[in-house]
Amino acid sequence: MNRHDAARTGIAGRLSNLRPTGTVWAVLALIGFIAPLFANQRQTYVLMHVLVLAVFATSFNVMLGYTGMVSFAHGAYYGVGAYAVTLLWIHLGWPSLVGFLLAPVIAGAAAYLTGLVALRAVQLYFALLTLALGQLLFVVAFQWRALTRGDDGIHGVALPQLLMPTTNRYYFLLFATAVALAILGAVMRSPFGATLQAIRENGERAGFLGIKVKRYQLASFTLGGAFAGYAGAMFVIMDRGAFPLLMHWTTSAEPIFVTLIGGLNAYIGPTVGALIFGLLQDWITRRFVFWGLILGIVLLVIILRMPGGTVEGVQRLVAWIGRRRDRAPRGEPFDESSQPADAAERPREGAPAGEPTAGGER
Amino acid sequence: MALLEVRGLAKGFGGLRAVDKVDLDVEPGERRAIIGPNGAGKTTLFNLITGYLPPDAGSVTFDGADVTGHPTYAIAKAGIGRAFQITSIFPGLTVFRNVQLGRLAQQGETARPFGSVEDRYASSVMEILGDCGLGALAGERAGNLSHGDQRALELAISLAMEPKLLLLDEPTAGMAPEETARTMRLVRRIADERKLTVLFCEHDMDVVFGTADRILVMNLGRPLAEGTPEEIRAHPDVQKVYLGEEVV
Repeated sequence: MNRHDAARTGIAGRLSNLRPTGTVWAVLALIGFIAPLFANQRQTYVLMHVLVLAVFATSFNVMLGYTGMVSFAHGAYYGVGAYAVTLLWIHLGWPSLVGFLLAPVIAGAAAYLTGLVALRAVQLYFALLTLALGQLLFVVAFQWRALTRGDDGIHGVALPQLLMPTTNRYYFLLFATAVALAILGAVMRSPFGATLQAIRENGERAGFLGIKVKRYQLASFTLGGAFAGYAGAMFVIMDRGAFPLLMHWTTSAEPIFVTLIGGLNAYIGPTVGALIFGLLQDWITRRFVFWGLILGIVLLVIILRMPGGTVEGVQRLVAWIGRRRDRAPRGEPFDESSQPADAAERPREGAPAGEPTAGGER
Repeated sequence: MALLEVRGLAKGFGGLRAVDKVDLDVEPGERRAIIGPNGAGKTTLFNLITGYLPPDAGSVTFDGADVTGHPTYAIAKAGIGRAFQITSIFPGLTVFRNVQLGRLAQQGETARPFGSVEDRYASSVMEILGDCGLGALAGERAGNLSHGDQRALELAISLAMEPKLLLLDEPTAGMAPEETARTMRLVRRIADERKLTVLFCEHDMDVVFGTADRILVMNLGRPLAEGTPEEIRAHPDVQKVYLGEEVV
């Protein structure tokens, strides 16, 4: 047994591994849990939107942050998930919760089939194919009035009695978010998640390791699409409706923004981004007529000033404060080697985080 | 029976015969060098053997099985590991994770979607890193390593696959003399310890004559001569096309 193993066994080791992001997750969960006590109806809706966005953006980051693929079809799978719930309800009379459970399966199937086509191309051409395929799905929702009621959308989906009060719906969505983030987090921390990162870093080398790159990219695309559909189903629980705009490619831009704001290199990044984006959007739209312009400028500043997103920005800030504190009392010059010494023994990417990170700084 | 049998392998790019009917037998445990001037077809030959390029003609038999034109992942699985001429690692991941991925691939666990990857195969990964002189750098971001350490990491990733045959494409390219010596000592030691068969191509004649059991000389896509280092040194044609310019 070597030093590396020894450092990571025992309860103390486990606890120290959990500390930084584990604490952030705990704080987020606590805030999420007590927030309805202080929020009015409208604010509760904003928070529900944050939850939906967190799942939506995290599912997107499976592809962008972990696998290194940019897809513009993600909104389409979100919409497929939403329509899965509403169409099963309106045409077959299936309860919305059954639709909720089937939504990720149906969206995953849609992502798998379109992914088969899109992955015939690489990089930019892949991204353009996803744009085309996503718009194709949008047009189906928009034009096939007999099925989807077209632009009118479907509204007033029946929910179980228990979910009618806004607060109950909020807690349902909070629980659904926790489940989705726990599943995706576990998968990203698994050997499969590590393999996706290897493909992102160097697909050719991954191929020489015996990894069938396309197959894993398709798996990532399907997984991301399935959870986008799950987020779409969450949207239906919140909004009780679905409409074609959910599938438009502009919807696909939202998780990109959210992920960049939060940080694509950390698993927690999209969730942090969803919180910032959701609250900021609400605050700005209520105060400014040209809210789109203001929001765009604010996002631009965040993205340009904090490459790596808020998560890395905060990590750098914490490291900077730590260095200042180390230096001040002892009056020693800052020694670069002293700080990462502990980190150097731990085989993990960049961030001083106890969570799966999507690869540290690049 | 030879571990690797190449028969009549050929590949053309337009009018250029990059590899032209090459035969090659590599015996188990052998350390075989391929030398030749630039454009002799060495790297193309490697690309054909590892399935990176489909051959126009000929066959590749490895460990008794025909692997001609098989995809790269199948050939990697069959036991041919490769380290690249241009350093090819996973730069944004840690050194530890780079080698761990090789272990996961070898164990067929890359698709496993549950269970933490963190400590998986930690002891065998650290052993390989130790063997390659990278033990202290396990937590470092691979892209931050020096060129020499990245080459060593490249080798470590290939070793984690537990290959039977290791292909090294100019393992000391771009290295300072002392780095070159260190790398080749490493290759020799690891090949001995792990009973590895090594096939490498190289420009540095000191490296070739100091490491190889047998040498294949190529020129313009064709085999020119084959033999022990002494035979090659004495070979008149070889001296003319290759050694004449560089060694004397």
